[in-house]
Amino acid sequence: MCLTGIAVLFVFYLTTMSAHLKWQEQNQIFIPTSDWLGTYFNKPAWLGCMAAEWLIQFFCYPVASALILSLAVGFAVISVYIPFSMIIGRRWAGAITTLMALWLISTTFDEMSSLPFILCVTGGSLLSECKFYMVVKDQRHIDFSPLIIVPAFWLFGVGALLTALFISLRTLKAKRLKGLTVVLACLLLAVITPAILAPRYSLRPADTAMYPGIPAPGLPDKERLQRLAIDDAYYRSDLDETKRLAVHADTPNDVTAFYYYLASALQDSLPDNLLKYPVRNLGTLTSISESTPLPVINMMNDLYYTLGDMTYAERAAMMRNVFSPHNRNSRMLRRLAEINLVSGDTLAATKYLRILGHVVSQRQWSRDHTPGSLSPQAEADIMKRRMYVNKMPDLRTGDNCRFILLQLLESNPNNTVALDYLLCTDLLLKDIETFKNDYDTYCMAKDSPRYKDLYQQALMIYLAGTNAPQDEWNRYIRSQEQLERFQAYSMRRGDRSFADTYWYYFDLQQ
Amino acid sequence: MRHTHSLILSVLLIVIGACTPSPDKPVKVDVLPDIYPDYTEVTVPQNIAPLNFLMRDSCGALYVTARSGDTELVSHRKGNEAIFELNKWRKLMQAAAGSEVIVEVTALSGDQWTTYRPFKIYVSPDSIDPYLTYRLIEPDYEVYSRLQIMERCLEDFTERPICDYNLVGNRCMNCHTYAPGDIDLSFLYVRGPGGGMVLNDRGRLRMLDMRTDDMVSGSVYAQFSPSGKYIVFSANNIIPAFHTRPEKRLEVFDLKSDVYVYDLTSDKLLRSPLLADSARLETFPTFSADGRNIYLCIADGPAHPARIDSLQYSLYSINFDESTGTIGNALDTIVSPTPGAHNSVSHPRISPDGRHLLYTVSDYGTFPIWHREADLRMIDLNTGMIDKLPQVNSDKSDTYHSWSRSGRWFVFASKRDDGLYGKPYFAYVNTDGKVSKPFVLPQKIPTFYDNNLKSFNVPELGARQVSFSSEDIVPLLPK
Repeated sequence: MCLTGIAVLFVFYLTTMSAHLKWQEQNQIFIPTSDWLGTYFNKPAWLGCMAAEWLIQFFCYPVASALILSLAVGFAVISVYIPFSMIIGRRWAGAITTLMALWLISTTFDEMSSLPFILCVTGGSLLSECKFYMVVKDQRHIDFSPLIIVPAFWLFGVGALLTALFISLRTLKAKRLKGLTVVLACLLLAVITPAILAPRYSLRPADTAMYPGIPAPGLPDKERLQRLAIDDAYYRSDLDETKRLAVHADTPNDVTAFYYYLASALQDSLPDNLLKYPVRNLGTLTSISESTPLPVINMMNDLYYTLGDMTYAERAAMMRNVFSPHNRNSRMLRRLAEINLVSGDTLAATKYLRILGHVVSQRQWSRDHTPGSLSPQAEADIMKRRMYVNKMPDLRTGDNCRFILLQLLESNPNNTVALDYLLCTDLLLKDIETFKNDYDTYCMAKDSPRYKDLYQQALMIYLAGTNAPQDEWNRYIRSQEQLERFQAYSMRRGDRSFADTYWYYFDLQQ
Repeated sequence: MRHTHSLILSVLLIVIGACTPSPDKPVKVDVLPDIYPDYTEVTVPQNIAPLNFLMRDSCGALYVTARSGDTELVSHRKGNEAIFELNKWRKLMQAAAGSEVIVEVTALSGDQWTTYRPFKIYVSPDSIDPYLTYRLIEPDYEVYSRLQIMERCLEDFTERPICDYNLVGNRCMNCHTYAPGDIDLSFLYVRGPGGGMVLNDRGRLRMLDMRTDDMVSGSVYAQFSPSGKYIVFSANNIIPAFHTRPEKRLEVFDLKSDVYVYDLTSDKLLRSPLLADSARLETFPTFSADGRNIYLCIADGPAHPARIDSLQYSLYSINFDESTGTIGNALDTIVSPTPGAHNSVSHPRISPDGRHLLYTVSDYGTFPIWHREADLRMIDLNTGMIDKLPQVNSDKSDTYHSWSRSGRWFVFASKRDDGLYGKPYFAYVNTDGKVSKPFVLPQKIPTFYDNNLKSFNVPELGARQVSFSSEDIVPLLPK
């Protein structure tokens, strides 16, 4: 039955949770060097936490993540079932461990990994099986088993509570009231050990006793899973898949919209797709601060990096790193390395690449991006991005994206992604006058008009609204088909057959 | 926990060491080994912890001898790290005090052993203050999470938090500062609601509220007077900003700032219009070694992001009478930026013997930690001569300095290794005022700095362990 449960869990994790587990992998770094491993000893449960983080690094592989997590839950359940079955019988033990299995599974849906907790439960339960007796003169046994609670706490933190529980229950069952001394010793050690060690760990006693923390139970959040899948597809540079997942999202929202548009912009089709998605969020009206949700900081990091503003991309990456568990995030370290490679700061890039060389999911990437031995693809990507970086000397006190886009276009008028984001932001705000000004400045004045249907439609609104002379129309409007549609729309304003046009959006949509 | 950790590591090292290959027919080359940290030709105090290092070139094993006279210490290990045993290192340092240690590195690369040109480490008989406090923070500074102010013993590798995010609710904290004349007097800041300056008076902690309604902020940069009776501080309205050019990154400047003196015995605030001129920006105040002067930096305000490079701070002094708490009525210019040149002054710190004034120069502004060009300068206050400290400065930011009590050593935060993460470097000042090549805070495991993702911010030297722990701060804060 247990094996079946593990198999079912494996299939479930593999088919529905791989993006969620990848997200957890990105939210940490595991470096197998003695200086890094030594940091685990600064807190309780070092073995549980170290083993968990070592395993989580393999969550970048969907099969491995599903296998590790389903086996970990399975072992935890077995480790609890065995002592319970010996104490209260198989039937009750089965019932209790079934409930516990459901609870453990429910904690795996939490944003942060519950694997450290699951391993601590396993370790604490297993240690309760250790028996520690001393035979005295008259052949009596003195039970020192409660002392196991101290190393159990050191190794598995909160798991030591299970050690204490199982030693107590087993002793009570075997010795009845004669075992009360052992029970009291267990209780005392379970309370005193974390209280004594709390100052050494710089934790409050209650936090020390519960380390690494009891994760909150929950249910799979379909919206979040879809959002993470889109984010993951974008991270893998699979732009078609990013758009496909965004289009098929059950509840389109700001994040799904953002990645739909970003993928479109990279395929030179942002203006073509601007009105095709039910939610409109380019990210250009978003500011980030310490209270911004982590997925939004990820978004802004991706946006600024794509546009070419390395300072704000670095700011968002640093911020995301700082707000990750233990202030470590492998994906953001990779982004920091990328940013510094683009900026030409080899020393700083090397710092991050050296760390990423230890990270399972980033090892190859780190090799490919090491200065001096860059892969041709990495070198081409860096050189391309360098052309688009912000070169305007300025000091910004806020992250006003319009201002940033203008500077990027001043730095390089060929930054089409920045141009489309600027013009599309104007259009989403229905600020036709600003749109016209920006179009004139960065398209007409540079002698590179951008003949996209969306822009043509918006220009017609401006030209019609200002009663522009025919030569102005001729100068801006090249699409005869759009012109004819505009004339048709003018007769039937608000007609649903024009729902794909900017005129319809301008007139009717919020 | 740290002792257990050490024990496990030691056992591992013994096991690993048992099968380490020994040098066999090494080839001698006349180049220095590419080691990190760079400990070649540095001057160190005799009470410093072992200068463990690694070879940047990959190597299968490392055989390192450190020799002074008849005393020799060997590190012989697999891999690329040289790690010295603490007790033996101390004996070597005692033997070498006043002279030098010669270090010879022999490395195994492939099947070939190579012996590199030996280098010297000069050992000063002048000990350094054995404790260092610093804040660990990501180098962004604009945001924070999980901050700690740590205390590290320089004579070994023990480190402990003296203020920890776990206990104070993940608040911002900064700037642990000692009184120059009293080793049991210090303060640090714990920010946020109900927070402020935590004054440590011989282990008794109290929250100090020096802010008045007309101040632009609470205290930001502060220093004790030599007697410990006064604190001089600046209140700064700080604005973070971001450069467009990636090589410049973060900027921080003051919209307004003023300087005040606080009398700790009477809990009174002392003011002077010369230190709180609304048309000027006053900041970075510090007392002279005899307490008769306050040194501070002043620039013409107001600051504006578009003209940030015109924000040039000069160094001034003003008289102060510790017996009466009277601030003088004239400002004397000590260092003024050369017209047209960019050399704004910040962070003046005076040696305890009153002879030297150490400060930072940068192109402009008040945040040299993100200015690559930021360098240290040292004025001999007896002669007025300015030493540009070429042997100390790097092409990255060098700032946030403080003196040892003897005036023979100073520590500063330098970003020379990677341009991002500040690390504490120590420099020796001999009796003639000559400053030696600095060395970075040694770490038990040489890969520490490679993997570390925090900056060592505002390092301060302390003569002994601070008399409070991170738990002692908790009762001062609201529940």
